[in-house]
Amino acid sequence: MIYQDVLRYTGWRYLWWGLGLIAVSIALYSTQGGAQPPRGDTWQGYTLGTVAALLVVWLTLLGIRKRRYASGAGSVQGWTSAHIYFGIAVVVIATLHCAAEFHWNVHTFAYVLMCTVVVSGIFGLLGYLDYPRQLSANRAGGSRSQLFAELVELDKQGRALAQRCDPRVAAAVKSGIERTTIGGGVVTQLLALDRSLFEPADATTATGNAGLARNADQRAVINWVARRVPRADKSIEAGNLQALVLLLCRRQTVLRRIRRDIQLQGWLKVWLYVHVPLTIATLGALVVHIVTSFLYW
Amino acid sequence: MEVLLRYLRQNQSGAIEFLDTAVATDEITIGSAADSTVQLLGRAVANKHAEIRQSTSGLSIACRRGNRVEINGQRCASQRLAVGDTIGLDGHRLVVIEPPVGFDVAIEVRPDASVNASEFEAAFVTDLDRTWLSRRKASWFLLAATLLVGLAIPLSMISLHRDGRATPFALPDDRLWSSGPLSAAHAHAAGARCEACHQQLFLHVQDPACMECHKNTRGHISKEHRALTRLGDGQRCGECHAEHRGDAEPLMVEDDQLCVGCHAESGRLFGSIKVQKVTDFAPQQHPAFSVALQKLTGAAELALVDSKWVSLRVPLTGAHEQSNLKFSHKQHLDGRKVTRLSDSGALKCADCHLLAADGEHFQPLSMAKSCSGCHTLAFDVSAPNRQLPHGKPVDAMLMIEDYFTRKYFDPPPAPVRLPERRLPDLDRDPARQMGVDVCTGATTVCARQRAAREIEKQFNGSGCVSCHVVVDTKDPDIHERFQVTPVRLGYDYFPRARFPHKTHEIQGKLTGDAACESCHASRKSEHATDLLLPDVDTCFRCHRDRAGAKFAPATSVSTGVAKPPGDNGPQKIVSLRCISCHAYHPTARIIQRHY
Repeated sequence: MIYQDVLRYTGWRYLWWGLGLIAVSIALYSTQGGAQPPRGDTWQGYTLGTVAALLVVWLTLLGIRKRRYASGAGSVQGWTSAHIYFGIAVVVIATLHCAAEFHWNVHTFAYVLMCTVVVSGIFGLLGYLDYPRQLSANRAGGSRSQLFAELVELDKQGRALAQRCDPRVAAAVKSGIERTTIGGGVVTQLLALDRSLFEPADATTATGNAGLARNADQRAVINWVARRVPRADKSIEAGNLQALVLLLCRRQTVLRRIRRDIQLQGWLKVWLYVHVPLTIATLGALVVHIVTSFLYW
Repeated sequence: MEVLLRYLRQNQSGAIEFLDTAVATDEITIGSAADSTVQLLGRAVANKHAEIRQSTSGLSIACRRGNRVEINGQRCASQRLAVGDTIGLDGHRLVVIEPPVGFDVAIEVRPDASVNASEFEAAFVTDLDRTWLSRRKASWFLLAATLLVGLAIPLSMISLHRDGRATPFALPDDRLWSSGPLSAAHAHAAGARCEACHQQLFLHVQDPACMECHKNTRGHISKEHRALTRLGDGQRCGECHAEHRGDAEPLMVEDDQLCVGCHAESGRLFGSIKVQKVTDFAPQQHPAFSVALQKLTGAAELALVDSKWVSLRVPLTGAHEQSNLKFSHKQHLDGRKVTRLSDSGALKCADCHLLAADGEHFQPLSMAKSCSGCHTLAFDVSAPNRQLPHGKPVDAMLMIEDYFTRKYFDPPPAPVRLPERRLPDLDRDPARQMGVDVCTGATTVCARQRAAREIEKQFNGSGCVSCHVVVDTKDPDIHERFQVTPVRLGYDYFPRARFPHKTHEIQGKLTGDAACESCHASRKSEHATDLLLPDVDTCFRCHRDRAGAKFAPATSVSTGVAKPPGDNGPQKIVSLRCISCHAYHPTARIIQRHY
């Protein structure tokens, strides 16, 4: 997969760079002690802090680099590979910088923000390791627009077929098609919830309208039509109804794939809504951390 | 209200079809949502676009925020509706028609035939970017909040604090910048007032801020002394005293390098001030001890009154104490010669040397506390309760004269009551005392002679002179003839160092006198001039600096340093730092004596 290539970029180059950076930082940290107990304000602490701060800024630049398609500053794949390993390394370096001293202050706040960004990044990375495979398996080699085109075609056929049936069946199937929901809010997309409805036009009611019924996964409308097959007056009508059931089932499959597609795309993306804003907040907190450290030196 | 929805749609043959739907609802919702009363699809149709309601004033349409519809060709957000009005929305048309009997409202829905299911994706929210989630807005909000709460508001509170006002409304203030909790004492004194120490922004805490409270703390050396060296300006308090580390960590950075950094190069850095070089606490790295002694000067034999005590600091090796006493530790510790009154056992160190409250020094010795238990100052065996006044030689002489005058004028003498137990210093042979009382002259003369003999015995034979150095001036006046040299016992031989006797009372398996004698060779000492103080080599038997403690052998065979006597078990080297024994800031007592 693409992201496994990113991890293994040029023979794990950035993994080794990241490990090297961590090793050098630990060596630098261990020279503290004695007259200068490990802390952020020793010269080793300042060095580690400066490296960590520059790394944070550089890591943020990936967001700019990946939007500049014409940039000659290395491939995006290489940048992303380095982003992953240096992003994990920066947590170690920052921890060494502060000598794992945490209190309720702006300094620990910046650290916590940075760690949250890294954790959200790892969450995103884990998604990228598996979701793209699931996505392409779900699309069966196609694309989402192809799935929608198939849905449009099935809808058109369904309407046409329904027109040839009893008007009540036509109305019910039409409502089932029109009141199919796809996607929706954040939770609906991520959990692939289905809030579809349909209007089962039941002959027993005076108005011919039984109100809206739940139609999750299209099961209700399929069952409703299927129940009418044995009660069909003519064999031709029964044939139409059978064809309609078959068509609605194909439509059900396409809808499942579309929902799964939206769900997987959502999970592939949702971490960015944490990662990006908290990155910007981390930059702000970093400025606060540095300025206040020297305000009250 | 009862609503009739009439859908008009062209069928495949081109004929218009009607499909009537009756709905009982309070409001007719229009939008792309599946549960809308009238579901319309299209890019310009919102999920929940608009609602039609009926009130007493009639029918009206109201769009949701940001949405618009066209009423009879006019774009608007809300409008009253009358029969015949056409509502246009992204190609769809809704016409208000005359409701048939039994219905309150009737609407004819003419969906845009060109809109098909391909618009579904646009109609539905299939991307997180189209939900309330927003990377950009969240980024700006978090950035602004961080800068505001973390920097801007606390910064504005500083001037308030400097005016002596508190932070209003529990707003965030500069406490958020604190890199860690203060030590307990500073937290008590300064509390949340950062500005008490951080008086200038972008500057380290300056010493004057410390000295506002620590008025009596003296620098390591005086400015005058520093001027003689090449040390330059002094260190900032904060370089050794690291704050904001809480109570768990010491406020003092206890590192030998802080001391050794200068003292290892004392020859180069200290200019004309002579200080011995120290590189570590290990043999050859740390100088031998020097001892502070008191010496009586100007004590010419005939002019003791003009003498005065001066302090000396001399190398411990070969130094002698001038206490002007006569005393043998060897004799006193020998159980065959001296026993305790209480249990007839041998004397123990602690019988005379009682640890002072500081656990470091010993309570001053005195005749009354330390000696008089055994050594009475009786001078006539027939009157054992009659004691000479201690420390007042002339008074003692007068008392002897008074006593014998009365004794000779008022015979018979008081009945002799021999003590139950023989006490030292009393004349052992009463017959000798009786024998000297043969005087044939006048009673006054006899009494005077007897008194003079006793005075001479006390100051020249045995008595006062047993313990004191007495100068015989040969003055014909007996009162002027004998002068007792002033006595001064050392109290603190190492005033610049700390040695906790308390923690050394037990050394491995050694306790009691054995622990004392492992350092103080008291059993061999026959003279009061012996300084029973151990030198630094004795310390090295158990102590080294931190680096040395790791590698030094428990018993240093190579250097010939023996373990404490009697201890054959394994012994661990205990590491010491410079400040374990030495204080950086001189105490008032040291300043008084040595500065």
